[in-house]
Amino acid sequence: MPLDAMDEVTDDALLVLYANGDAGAARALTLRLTPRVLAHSYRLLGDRAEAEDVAQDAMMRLWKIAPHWRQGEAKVTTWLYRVVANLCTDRLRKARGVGLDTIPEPADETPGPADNMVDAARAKALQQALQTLPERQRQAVVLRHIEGFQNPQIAEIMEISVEAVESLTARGKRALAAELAGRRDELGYYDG
Amino acid sequence: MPGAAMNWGTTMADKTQPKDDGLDLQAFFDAAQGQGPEASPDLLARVLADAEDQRAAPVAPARRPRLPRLRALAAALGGWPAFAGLATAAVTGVWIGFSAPDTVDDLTAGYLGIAETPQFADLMPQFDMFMTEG
Repeated sequence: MPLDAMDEVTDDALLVLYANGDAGAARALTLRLTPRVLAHSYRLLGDRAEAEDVAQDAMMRLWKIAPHWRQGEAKVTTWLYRVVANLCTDRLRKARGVGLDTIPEPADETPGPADNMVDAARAKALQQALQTLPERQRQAVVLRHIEGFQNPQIAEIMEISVEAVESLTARGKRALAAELAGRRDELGYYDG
Repeated sequence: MPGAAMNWGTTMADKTQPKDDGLDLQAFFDAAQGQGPEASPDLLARVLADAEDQRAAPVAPARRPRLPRLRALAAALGGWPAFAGLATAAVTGVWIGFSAPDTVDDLTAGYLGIAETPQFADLMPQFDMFMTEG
């Protein structure tokens, strides 16, 4: 099947095609899901190299589960985000004890027009603030406000109740706001 | 860097977002959505290579274990319950054959209405009979 013809095909169906030996399905899934998995793991870990490792590992697990995937039982993205979260948790546990000073600085994006610079600065500040949150709060806030998932799907990914998701995002946002407000002067930004 | 351009984004207020210290978190979330790391060609190539490796080594279907002959026969007949039925029928047949000739005789006599069970009928008289002069 040509690659552009696969744009309309669901993740589920692509995974079944891949399991049946379709090389085009592998390419389509790689291009569709790897950027999302990488972005999510970066937001949870705050480190590009680690995020790439997690993304590759998570995708490898997807390839391995493909022959056993039962279509329609679960969403591929829900399963994949859960895998990413577990892999990130493992890495964060191994690195536990690392102080805030050693949290890696997010990589600077290429400077562009003023708007892009503002956005880049905000994204960088947010990423640093996210790293100060407890893991579960960070995960819930990222899924809800950056990845754009709805609470029921976040509950499914995190395997908790919707009420627990609401509680985590509310606490996470309060902590983020406090962290960002406290770092205005340090980061050199001022309200306009 | 002009301070006005690098504010905290209060002009992009989201009505649903609570404000903390005049901070608009939604502006930060919006910025982060457009600033995620891009997947490098190298990463995509590695992921695709993994996909190809896994695709090249499909999971072999589990070989059905070969059944011993007796089990195969039982399976062909419909399992062990069918075997039990067969065995019962066989034993019953043997038991009837060996143990109850009198009962069978009585039953036959009653059915035919005669006292003795006929041993055989002389349907083919011997040749001597035809040679007798009468």
